[in-house]
Amino acid sequence: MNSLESNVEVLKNEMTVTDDMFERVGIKGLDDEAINKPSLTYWADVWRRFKSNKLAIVGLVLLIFVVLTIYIGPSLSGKDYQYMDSSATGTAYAVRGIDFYLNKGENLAIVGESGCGKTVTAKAIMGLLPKPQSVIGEGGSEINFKGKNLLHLDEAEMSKIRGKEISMIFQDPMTSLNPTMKIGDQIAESVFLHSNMSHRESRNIALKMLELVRIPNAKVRLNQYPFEFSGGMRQRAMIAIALACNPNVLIADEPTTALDVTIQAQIMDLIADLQKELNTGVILVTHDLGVVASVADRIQVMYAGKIVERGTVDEIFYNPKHPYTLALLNSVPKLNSNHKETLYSLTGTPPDLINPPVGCPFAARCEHGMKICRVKHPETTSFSKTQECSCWLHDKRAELSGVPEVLVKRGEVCGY
Amino acid sequence: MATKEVLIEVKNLKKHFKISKNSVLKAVDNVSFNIYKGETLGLVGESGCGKTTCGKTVMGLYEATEGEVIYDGVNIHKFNNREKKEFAKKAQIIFQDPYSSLNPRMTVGDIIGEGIDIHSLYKGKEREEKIFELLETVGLNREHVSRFPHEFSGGQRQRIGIARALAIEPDFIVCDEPISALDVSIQAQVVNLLIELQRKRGLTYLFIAHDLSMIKHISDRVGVMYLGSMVEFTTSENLYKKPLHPYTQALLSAIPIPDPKEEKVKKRIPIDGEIPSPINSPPGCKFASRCKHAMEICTKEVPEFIEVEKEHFVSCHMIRK
Repeated sequence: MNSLESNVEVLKNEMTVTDDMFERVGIKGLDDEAINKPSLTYWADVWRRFKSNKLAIVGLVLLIFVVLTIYIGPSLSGKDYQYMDSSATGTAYAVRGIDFYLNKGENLAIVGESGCGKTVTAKAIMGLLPKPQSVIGEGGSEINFKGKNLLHLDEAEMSKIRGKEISMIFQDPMTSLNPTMKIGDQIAESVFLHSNMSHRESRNIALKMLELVRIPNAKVRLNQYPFEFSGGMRQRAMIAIALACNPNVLIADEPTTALDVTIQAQIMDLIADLQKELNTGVILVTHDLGVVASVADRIQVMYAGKIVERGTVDEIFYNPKHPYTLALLNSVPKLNSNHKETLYSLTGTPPDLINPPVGCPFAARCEHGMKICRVKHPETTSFSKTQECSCWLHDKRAELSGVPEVLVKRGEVCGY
Repeated sequence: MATKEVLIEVKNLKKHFKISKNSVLKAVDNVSFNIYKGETLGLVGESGCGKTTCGKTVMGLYEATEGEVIYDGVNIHKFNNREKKEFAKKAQIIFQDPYSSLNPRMTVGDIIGEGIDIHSLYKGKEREEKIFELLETVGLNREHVSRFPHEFSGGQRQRIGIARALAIEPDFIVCDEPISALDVSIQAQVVNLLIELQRKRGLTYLFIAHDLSMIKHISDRVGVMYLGSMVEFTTSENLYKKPLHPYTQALLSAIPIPDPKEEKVKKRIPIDGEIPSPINSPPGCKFASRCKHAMEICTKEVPEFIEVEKEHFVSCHMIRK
């Protein structure tokens, strides 16, 4: 409650927010706007192309503002992290000021639709974003890991951390392995590079890793090439590579999206087991809320480059505070839901991050949108130690009629 | 339930691909089912189990190796070219990948209008009106007619694919994983659209997917495929309430439930390993190599596909009447 009041205080001081701005703006009539959004009118298109040409000639300037603080020890944390990516059509503000932390041995899930900046966040931590085209953080951006700001490290220092202390599993196991190298060599490579071991010793570690990720017949498999592996096995091999150096942080970028449910279940169990065994912190990037429910400790919901809500698994699933979180939860058909009833669905598509909207990015698709939502970005309201949400509905003056009760309940601990 | 009219009857359908002199890939092996008019039949299974091949064979895109597909009383694999073209007017397909299934050099209007032109259904002004109408049916705008596919998002492209399938007013549509390439919120939009169209136009769908919760939501009856064979076939209610085949049970238990409490108490029936290669598969039950309950007979004899109770077919040695 305190934080809520202090939010209102801030608003009052700024004077720009007036009571009549909390009038409800229906979503009707916005549908068209939302659908039309990606393709502007003809002249806007021409103007955009003209601009982009100029940009292309001048040379692409990519800007990113990243302020991600990651620190391990007790934890890894990110702080106000922004990222801009510029292409022929303009500058895309892919991540627009996010901050978070990861505790040791914890599983943090980042959930959101495609294009919301999940993968960019992950790659920024790894230092894998293409350098001249992308700019991370103007000024205060930080990614703190064990007390070091990763953004200030040069390539040589970064490559000592990458793969050894922070490693990553990529989305597509079909394309992210080197097709011309034996699986064993690919696993041994990172061990060899990051330690003083001989080739033979690192091959032994590779064998152990393959056994750890439960690949049957590991000795034979060690000498095979990726094309001889099936999708699930390749993903296991990727996990083996990522964990070979026993990293503190594992970033799993949609590790199961390309896989079947049965294999997905196997891989998620594997990641959860290994996490416990090795006490690795995991950042799980995904769009599948089902996957998250079983393994994550905390969840962050991202939308259009911003974190709109965060909380523990139970808070997010049973006590969501942001309309977008609720929409995501509702649009998944439940196994016990009625047959063929209309699914809850969001209208429109996520906003264009080349021209990110002023105000709340979700406003154009939100049923409970008010005038204020389109003008000013909402402050963060905190509901518990762990749960925070940025939405105008949690302002005192918000129009609450017709808003689902779960969104506006305050103060109580969820579910239990 | 009222008497149901059978639209398509699939009898002992086989589709084998010859890979080399001695090896045959049995993509679809002895599958029989029927599809009622106006219903949605779901096909689920892991990748490589032959769902898509089955769908394509049913609508005549592949020649069947053996067996029959009877549409409205006629075997579609006996058609000559002219009859095939006639049949194409009745059966259409929506493809999995909205990015590669639209010709990038054609405008949306031409993509949707192509079928209309081929079957010379409408001309000139009428054709244009029809295309506008189709675009509006699937929730796009008239102005989109002259745009190219790359200007649209994934969900919008899938809508274009749906409009194309609807253009020649078919009775039967094969939906080949139409939503698996889309985001969760967009998936719901497309599924709602498909259900709405079915209600309005009385369409019959063969809905292929690997997402079991979506299949449950949209289908009246569901067939579970494993390695080219149908292992279980029943109403969607039945399938989720009392799955009989060990594979179906394992598959159902593997679905992640978006509910942390349920997820904690849920018992997962693990299946080890992965789907074996369909090339020269061993005799007997195809699931035997991964089945916990496998008996001696399972590796020798192919279990019969029997009706255990009304509308519930299973092929497993464990289950006898």
